[in-house]
Amino acid sequence: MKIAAICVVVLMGGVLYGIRFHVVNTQFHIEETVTVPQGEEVSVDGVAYKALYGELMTHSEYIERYQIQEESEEEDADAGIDLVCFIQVENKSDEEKKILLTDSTFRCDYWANGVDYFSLWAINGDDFDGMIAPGETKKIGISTIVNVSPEFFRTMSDDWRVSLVEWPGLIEVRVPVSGGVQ
Amino acid sequence: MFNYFKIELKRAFINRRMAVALAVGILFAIIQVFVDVLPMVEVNAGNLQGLYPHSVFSKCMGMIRGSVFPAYYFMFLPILIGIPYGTVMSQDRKNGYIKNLFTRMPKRNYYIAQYVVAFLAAGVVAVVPQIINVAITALFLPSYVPLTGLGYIGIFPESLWAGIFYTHTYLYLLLYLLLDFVVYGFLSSLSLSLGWVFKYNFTVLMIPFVITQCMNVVLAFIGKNCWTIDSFACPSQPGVSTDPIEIAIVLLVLFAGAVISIIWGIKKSDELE
Repeated sequence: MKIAAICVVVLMGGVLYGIRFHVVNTQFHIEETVTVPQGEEVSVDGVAYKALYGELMTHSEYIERYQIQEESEEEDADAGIDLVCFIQVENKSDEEKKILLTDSTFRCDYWANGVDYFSLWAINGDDFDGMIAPGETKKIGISTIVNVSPEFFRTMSDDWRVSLVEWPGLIEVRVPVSGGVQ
Repeated sequence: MFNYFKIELKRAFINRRMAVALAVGILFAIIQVFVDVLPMVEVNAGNLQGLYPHSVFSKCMGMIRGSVFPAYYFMFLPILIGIPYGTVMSQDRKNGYIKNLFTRMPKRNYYIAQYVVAFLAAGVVAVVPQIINVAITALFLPSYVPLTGLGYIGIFPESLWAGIFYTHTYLYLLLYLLLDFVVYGFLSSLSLSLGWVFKYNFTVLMIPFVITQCMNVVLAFIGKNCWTIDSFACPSQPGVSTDPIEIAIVLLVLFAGAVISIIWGIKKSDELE
């Protein structure tokens, strides 16, 4: 009798726990990640995005190509790997839009890093303001630092992606990336 | 042998010391929920402004970064694991109970039972508070699989079992609970062994804590923080690059230390007899 009572209490506790668990996990609506294949276009809020290409390079190549002014002369120019990616952005809406892509995240396997904010002007020019008129198409360059060890970098796949929209509806575009570092 | 094993299991698990050790651990777990988890419920309920909601896997005691509770829990856990059963062999020798037992059964049975039970008791003390903490946290925060790139989760691609963390996160926590069970079980066995060397019960109880703190100092000095027990036993992996082979080597060294100590102790005891 005592054991039966204990079993009933445990069962009831389990059911209540399950109900509460379900309620907590359905309070936010999280959508499936949408991954757009390489070369395809995706529209978000009247703006069409298409990943054109990406390129991996050493930090010194990145500094040289985009004439980056390093803040510290002691900074090691050969440290790290940079990924530069170009996205074609077309404003299909009726109003002017500001597109900076600074909230984007680069991902590859389980690695992720955000866009390097200040490099936006190094790559796109000092007068870059992100404004796109209705009907206009622009090519925007964004970059990030691939902050992993060289040994780990060699184990990464070539599934490079850039997010256009984060949570709750993650939209990523696959980027064809060339180049690399030894 | 099995009958004696059952007696020792009862001695380890059905006693006040086990209740005290578990109570202290569970107190850590519950207070951490009040301090770190409940405020996040309000944050989630408010305007997140497009931010990924705080989940079980970023705020439970094993995973949270920057909180004092996991730091103190894993720091004092080596003491807690020794409370239920760490000093039993030392006490048995002092009060003559061990001689009484040796008249009734082979010595080997006694030692095997002691080590297995110490291993199990320490593992339970290490793991039960963490399970309770995760279970309670899951009642308040969602169990959403973490998104890569979240700044407040410190599991990097080079981290141990990173792939499992970002796909089956509860499985990741389960694997870490198993790892903690084994690690702290071995640590308790080492304490049991070193009970042959040290005279006082308090010293025997503190042995695991002293060993872990010495390891922290020495390994930090040589730049191998990832080899410390605090580092690889904690699911949030403060050591970042924790390699399973390196963990196995550390455990092997602890196990070897335990075996050498017990063999030396038994030989010394036999010589005195």
